Amino acid sequence: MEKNEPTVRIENLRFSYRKHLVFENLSMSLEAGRIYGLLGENGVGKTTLLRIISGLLRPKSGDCSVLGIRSSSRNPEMLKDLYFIPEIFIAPPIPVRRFAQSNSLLYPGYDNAMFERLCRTFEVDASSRFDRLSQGQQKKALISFALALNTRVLLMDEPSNGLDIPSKTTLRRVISECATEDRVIVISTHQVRDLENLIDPIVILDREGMILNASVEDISKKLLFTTAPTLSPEAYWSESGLNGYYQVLPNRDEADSRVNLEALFNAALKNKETFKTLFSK
Amino acid sequence: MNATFNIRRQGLTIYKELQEKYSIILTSTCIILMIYLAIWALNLIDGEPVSTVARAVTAATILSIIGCLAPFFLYKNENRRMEGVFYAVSPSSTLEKCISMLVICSVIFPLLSTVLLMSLDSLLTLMPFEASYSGSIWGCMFSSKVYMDTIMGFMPFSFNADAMHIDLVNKMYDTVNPLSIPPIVGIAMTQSAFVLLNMLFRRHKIGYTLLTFLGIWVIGAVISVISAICFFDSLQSNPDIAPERMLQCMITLSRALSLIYCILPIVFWALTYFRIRRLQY
Repeated sequence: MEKNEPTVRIENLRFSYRKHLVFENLSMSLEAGRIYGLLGENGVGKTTLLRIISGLLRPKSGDCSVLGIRSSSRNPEMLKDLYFIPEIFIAPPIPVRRFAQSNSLLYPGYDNAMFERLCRTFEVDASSRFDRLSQGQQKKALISFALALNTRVLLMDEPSNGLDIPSKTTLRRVISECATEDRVIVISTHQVRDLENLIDPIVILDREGMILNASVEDISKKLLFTTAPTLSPEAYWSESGLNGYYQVLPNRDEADSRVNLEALFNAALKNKETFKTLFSK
Repeated sequence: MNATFNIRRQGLTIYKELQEKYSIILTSTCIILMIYLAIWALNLIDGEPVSTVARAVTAATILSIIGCLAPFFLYKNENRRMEGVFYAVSPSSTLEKCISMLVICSVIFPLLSTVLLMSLDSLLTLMPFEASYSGSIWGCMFSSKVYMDTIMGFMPFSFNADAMHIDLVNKMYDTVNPLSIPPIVGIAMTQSAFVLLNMLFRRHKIGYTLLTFLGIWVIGAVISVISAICFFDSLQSNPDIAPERMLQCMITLSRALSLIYCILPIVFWALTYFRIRRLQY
């Protein structure tokens, strides 16, 4: 892999399930040192994209490479630096600790002390049988294991699903602690509030491809998230409330505002072409 | 590091899979031993002495059936979309995964169960019961000669033909017997077919596999019947066919079958490799 090459590069990707087209000409790149938030409505292909990046699915055409290696080849050199946490998985009928022990053998960066620490943080008993834990506990055990692998690419599909409120807070904290300069973390979610303040950049997908792939800084430069007593005709999206209208507006004066992911997502879905043009610059 | 094969990675892959599957291997071996003990107990109740060959045939049959079914319980989830994700993203190459499957299904598991079963049989011969087992089955367990001799001994008919025909039959037996396929090759071929079908079908694996075998058996039976009819027709139309020519036909057929039996396991394992490589999750 060349020095300035992005960790994940997708070029003109086309993917379909038989007659159902999911991606047509999708191009994007994911760089190290970031926690990407992959947002989109149900069925736009968030999980499919993560599966393509991890080599579980093969694109019909185009290219997807991870660390300079074509992902569909499932090359061990690529796989030892990548881990995928599926949204739903069948836990094996072995203790969590043995699962971690056996599955970590082929990952050179695995840190067992870190795994034990993360299990304690998430209050998961590593000596319990994996399949006998509750759904939430299973997910926390797998997240602990995945983070302890220290892979350069970590793909998480809806990691906050099934977690209780304190666990969601812990999840945000541990992910931000584990983010390093050479690591790219991609989190697919439709529960944007769970991961607000954690994900940056934001990638929003729709049925025609990608609407935007931009950093929070870039978004706040281009969009203003504000509450006003009257509804602006320029508003990309608005919602009425007790204090007036919460709106997403074009940020002509480069005023500071806090990016609201839910509002951004709704505005992007309502103004797909405008946002594509706005963020392609 | 070589992306296709690396000896260290291969060792770790086998070790990893053994760590995950050793409980299944031990449980299956225990089931084999329990079945053999149950048969021994039934023989004791029956009170009739059991010959060494009959015991060897029983043991070999149990081992063959469990050996052929081994892929279904050792690798039942590896090609499934949800359950197989951890297997697919595990950082070893397809070749290493395939070799690991071969080592566990066709070497470690059969070897362990065979040694334990034969040891159990040896222990049973030491039991001080009147109708207990005697003699060792170690020598005739997988010997094709022993089986052929036994089958010939059980032949329900006697030859009333003239000395020339008896001589021909004896000559055919003596020539073809050494060419007959050793049972171990037959087991290896059947097991490799089961491994391939186990990876081919994602659901109802055993049912679909048995249906496939039934289909192949029906086709084989039809071909055999047609060939036999053609052969006897040619015999009737040409009664002066030389016995040497018949003998030569038998030798050619036996050689062709032996070759097919040796090639088929390699073909099935190669197809399993390509199946694992092409699998999408």
